[in-house]
Amino acid sequence: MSFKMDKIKDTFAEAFKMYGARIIITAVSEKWALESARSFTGFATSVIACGCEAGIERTLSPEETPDGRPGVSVLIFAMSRKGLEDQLLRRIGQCVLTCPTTACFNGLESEEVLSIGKSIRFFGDGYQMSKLLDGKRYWRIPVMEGEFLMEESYGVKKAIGGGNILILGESVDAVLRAAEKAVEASRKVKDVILPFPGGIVRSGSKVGSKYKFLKASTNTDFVPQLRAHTSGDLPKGVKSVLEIVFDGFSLEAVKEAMRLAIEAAVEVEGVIQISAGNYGGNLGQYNIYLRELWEGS
Amino acid sequence: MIVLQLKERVFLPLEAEVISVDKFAEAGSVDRISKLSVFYGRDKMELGEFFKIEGSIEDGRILIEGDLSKVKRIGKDMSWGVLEIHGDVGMHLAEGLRGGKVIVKGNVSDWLAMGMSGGLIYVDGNVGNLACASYWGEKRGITGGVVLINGSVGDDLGRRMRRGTIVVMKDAGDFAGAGVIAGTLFIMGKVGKAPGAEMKRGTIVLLEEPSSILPSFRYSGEFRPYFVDFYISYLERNFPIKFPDKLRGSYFRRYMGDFLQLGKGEILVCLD
Repeated sequence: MSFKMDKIKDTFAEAFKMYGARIIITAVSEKWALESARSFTGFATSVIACGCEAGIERTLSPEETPDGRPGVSVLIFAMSRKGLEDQLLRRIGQCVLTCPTTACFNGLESEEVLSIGKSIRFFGDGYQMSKLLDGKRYWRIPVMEGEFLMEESYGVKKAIGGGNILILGESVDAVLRAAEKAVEASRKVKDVILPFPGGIVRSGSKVGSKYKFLKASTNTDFVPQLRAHTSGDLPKGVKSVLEIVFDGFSLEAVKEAMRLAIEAAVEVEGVIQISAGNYGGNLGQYNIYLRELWEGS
Repeated sequence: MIVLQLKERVFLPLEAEVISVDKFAEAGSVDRISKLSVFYGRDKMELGEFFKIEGSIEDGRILIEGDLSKVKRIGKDMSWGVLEIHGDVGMHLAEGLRGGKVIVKGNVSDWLAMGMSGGLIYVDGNVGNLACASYWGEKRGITGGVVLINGSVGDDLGRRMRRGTIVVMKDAGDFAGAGVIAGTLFIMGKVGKAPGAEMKRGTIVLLEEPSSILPSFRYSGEFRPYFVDFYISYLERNFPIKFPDKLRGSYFRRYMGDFLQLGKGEILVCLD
C-alpha cells in the first residue's frame, strides 16, 4: 500500500444478502452477444426500482463458451429467489430470445436452480424440441430467424449486494476521473459487477424521505450544496461526490473489488477522501470496513 | 490398472460378462478375478484360463489386449471406471452400460451398447449391425450416454433409442435411426436406406444428402440450427473427435417425420 491511509475515512459500507445468477449469452459475433447483454442488463441498476441489479461481468472468447461462439457473461442479482426467477424470465424472454443469433446458457454451477427454460419454451407453440446432453436439458425454440437455443436450468446462489465506496473530491472532473479509474481496476475481479451506468452512481441514496410515499431519496449528507442543512461531515473543499456499487457472489470478491477501486481512485489528483455509504449498520447483513480491506495483504 | 492379455485365440464364443470394473472391484484381488466364471461354448470355466491377468483394479481401469472377436458381453452393466480394449471385440459389448468409459482401439461386432443408459463408448474402428439398438421385442433402445464411432456402422443403428447421443464419423447402413423415440444421431458419411423410418421424435444430422428420404417425411425448409454448433463444441472438447469443418455454422435442410408416427422427428442435411 503506497498511499496515505488518512485519505480513507474510518467507516464501513453496508451490504446486503441477495440471490445471484450468471448467464452466458453467445451469438454469431461478439457484437450481437453484447447487444443482447446490454439489453438484458438495461434498467437493472438498483433493486429499489428495477427489481434486480445486473451487469456485464466480461466478454468470453469462443473457447470459453459452451457453443464455441463469442459470448458475454452477465451477472444478475435480486433480493429473493422468486424475484430473481421473475427477472430472469422477463429478461431472457425479452432481451436474449429476441436478439438475432443468440443462445443462452447457465454460467453458475449450483445445487439450487431456476427452471427458466421450462416456461420460455412455450414460445415455440408446441414446435419446440428438447435436447438432453450430459444430464442437462436444452430447449430449441423455433423463431423466424432460425432457432433459439437455451439451457433449461440456471444456477442460483446467495450473494452480496450493495458493497460501495464514495469518492469525494474538489471537482466533478476529479471525482469522475477517479471513479473511472476505480471502475477499470475493479472490473478485473471475477464474480463481481458494478450495476450502475458505466459502473458509477452520481445519485447515492439514503433510506426514506420526508415524503412518505418515497422509499429512498438523495443522500443529503453527501450532497455538497446542502451543507447548510446537514450534519456537516463532508470535508472542506469537497464539491462533488460519486459512488461505486459492487454486487458479487462472495464477500471476498466484493472486498477485493472495493480494495482495487480505492487503490486506483485515492491517488488521483483532486480526490479529497474515500468514504462509504451505510445505514448505521442496522439494515445490511454485512459491514465492510474500508480500512480493514488491506488487512493481511 | 489391471491388464488382461488373451493367452491364445478362442474359436467358440466366450461369454465374458464378468469383465467389467464393477465385477473386478467386487472380486478385489487378481487371484479372485482369475477365478470368475465364464462360459466357453457351453462349458463353465474360469477367466484366468483364457487371460493372463496382472495389476490392480484399485484405480478402476482395465486394459484388455488380444483378438477378442469371439469374446462377448464385455463391460455388461458397468457403472464406473475405464475399460480399454486393444483389438477387435465380439458381440454385445457394453450391454446395459450405466456409467464410466469403454474405449476400443479396433472393430466391434453387432449389438454394441444394447440397453445402455449412461457413460461413454468410443470406438476407433468399425461397428457391426444393431449398434445402440433395442433388442427384439423391446420398446426402447439406449436411454442415455454418448457413443462415438470413428468408423462405419452396419444396419439398424440406434433403433428405437429413447435418449442419448450417437456419432458415426463414416458411413451407416440401412434403417439408421429407425423408430427413434428421442435422442440425437450424427452420421458424417453416407447413410443407407430409410433413415429415420418410424421415428417419433429426435434428430438425425447428416453431412451428406441421403440417397432417398421416405415419403412419410416432409420437406420443412432450410435454416441454421445453433444447437449443432453447441453439440460439436461439447463433443470435440470432451472426446477425441473432430467434426468436418463445414458442419459448424452451416445451414441445414430439414425433413420432418415420420408422419406414420408422431411426425416430430427431424432429419437435418448439411448444405454446402
